[in-house]
Amino acid sequence: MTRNEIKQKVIEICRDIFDDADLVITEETGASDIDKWDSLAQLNILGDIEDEFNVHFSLDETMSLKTIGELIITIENKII
Amino acid sequence: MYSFRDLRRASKLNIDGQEYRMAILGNSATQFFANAIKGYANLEDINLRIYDADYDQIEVQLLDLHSETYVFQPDFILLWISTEKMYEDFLKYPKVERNNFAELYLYKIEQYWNWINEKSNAKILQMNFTEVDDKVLGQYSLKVDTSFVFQIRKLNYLLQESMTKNDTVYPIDVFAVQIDLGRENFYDPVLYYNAKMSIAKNALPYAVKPIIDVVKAILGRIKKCLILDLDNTLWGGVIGDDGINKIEIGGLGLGYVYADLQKWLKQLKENGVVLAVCSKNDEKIAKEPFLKHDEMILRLEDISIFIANWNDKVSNIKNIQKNLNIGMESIVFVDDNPFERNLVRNLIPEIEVPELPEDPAYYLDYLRRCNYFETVSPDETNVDRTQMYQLELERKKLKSSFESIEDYLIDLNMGGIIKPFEEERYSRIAQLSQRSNQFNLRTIRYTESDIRNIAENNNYMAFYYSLKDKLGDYGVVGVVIMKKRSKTEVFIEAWFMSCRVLKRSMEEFIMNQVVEKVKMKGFEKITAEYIPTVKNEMVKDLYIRMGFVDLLNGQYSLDIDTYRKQKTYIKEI
Repeated sequence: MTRNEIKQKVIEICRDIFDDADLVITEETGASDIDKWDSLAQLNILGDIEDEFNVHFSLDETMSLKTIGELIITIENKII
Repeated sequence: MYSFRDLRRASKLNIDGQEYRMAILGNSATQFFANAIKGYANLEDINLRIYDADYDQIEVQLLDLHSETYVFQPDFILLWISTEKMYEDFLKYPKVERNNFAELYLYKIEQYWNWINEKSNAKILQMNFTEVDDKVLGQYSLKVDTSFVFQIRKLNYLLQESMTKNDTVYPIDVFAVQIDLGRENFYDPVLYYNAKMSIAKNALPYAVKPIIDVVKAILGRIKKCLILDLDNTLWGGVIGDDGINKIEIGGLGLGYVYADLQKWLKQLKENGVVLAVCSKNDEKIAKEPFLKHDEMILRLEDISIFIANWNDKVSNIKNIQKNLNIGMESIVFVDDNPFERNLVRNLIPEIEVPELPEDPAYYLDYLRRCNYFETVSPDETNVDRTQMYQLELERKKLKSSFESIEDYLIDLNMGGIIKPFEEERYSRIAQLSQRSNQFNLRTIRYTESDIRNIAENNNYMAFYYSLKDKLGDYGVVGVVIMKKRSKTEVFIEAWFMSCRVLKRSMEEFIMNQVVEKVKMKGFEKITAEYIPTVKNEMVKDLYIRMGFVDLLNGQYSLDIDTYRKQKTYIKEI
């Protein structure tokens, strides 16, 4: 899976969770950029990513991942 | 099973219909749990509004009459105490006192129930406790009464014992879900340490299913009948081809599988579920195993309606439903043949058709897990149902040989019994309120504790009616609950009747009795209401038939002095 494919899937997951089909998301986007991105939303995003890519995040990762870019890199490292 | 994602998406849907409210109180974080409940309810077409209390606020919420929980006026209060958090409480006790932990903890929970019962009419949904074994003493824990595993198992047992004495409490067996999924799948340490949620996201759909099952049962949405195919469903092989000596049923090989399945079906029948047969077969041949095969568990008298012919199953099922006089959505159809299942599912969308596994060895386990037969009021009088329905068939045959319906009714020699609510009938009365859909004027569902409250309240006059005739005893078939509105007026809060006694002049008998009792107590007026549902159209004009004045919008009124006795074929006995 290319980095771009990963990114597309992550964006789809975020749009679904935030209920906004036109949500603009870049690799720099993080919790502070989206109002609805609270700790619960963060858990939902990570949970859906775990199911989608069949990966598991450690406690440390779930608490430290702050931006979409960091998420994509972490996924990449897990599935390669 | 749904995924958590399905439930989260479904939780955003809007569902029409009457709104019910549930307050969720937990000692750990419940946001995803609440989400899952809402989503599951929506997918089951229940309009459930949820108040999700903040984490670890149980005492504050339940003690204060003005708390968000009570202001919300919930129909249900769900109490969920996670064992992971409880373990922290356990450790706060000095080691020597831990042998009483279960008793003390149960006392605390019983107090929650008391507080709720004092301040609210909500039904309490009490989750039992999942297990955590801290392995501090290894296997030896089982004989050390200060170990956590010793205490948590005792607590689950004590909880059950206490619930038998509290009829506003409904158990939710979440521990069974933990066993089914295994601790590894049920609990996610990352989620727990990150967010203090003690059920793994992907276990949530399994954990909330029993909650919704119980809510459905309380709302009267229960399964009453199981329609069974025969060949390769109740026994191995094809009776028409293999013959009675070759079909597989009994102690050997594949036969064991079917024998176990039949034993389970027999248990269902003994607990009030009606069994019917629908098979493409020659009737005489199909009945043979039930009559002559020594190792068959189910006998012909266990089957209420037996249909074996070469017509399509859809018409046969509709026929069975008509005869039983119950809703299609309360029927489960079990057939090993995917073609028949699909056909039935497509042409009768309301019916429940389990997707049986291919290997018969899995049938029983699969059907048990479906948990179709949730109930909120077990009742022994149910046992007679099969026989009652069989009698009903006899009666239908008898009917055709009379000149007129009047002759037939007179010949039945019917006797009606009228009694105020009494303790040993509470559960049957509650059950009738939950099961009656067609002859039900306001469709209020009562639980056993509601019935008890009404019986003990002087502002109510409440009666149940039973019926006997020369063919059998029907037991409790009708209920009228009246509330005093003033010195001169009573209001019929509920009137429901079993459909087994329709067209027997039972409603006329009841109305005559109602008027008589009300008159004796010095009232002058009876008011009543009809609330339409999709199923109770048959009683739309009931009050007009009984001589009430139509005040429009479903309201009716009767001056007792103007009442003219209705003609009935039932004598009071």
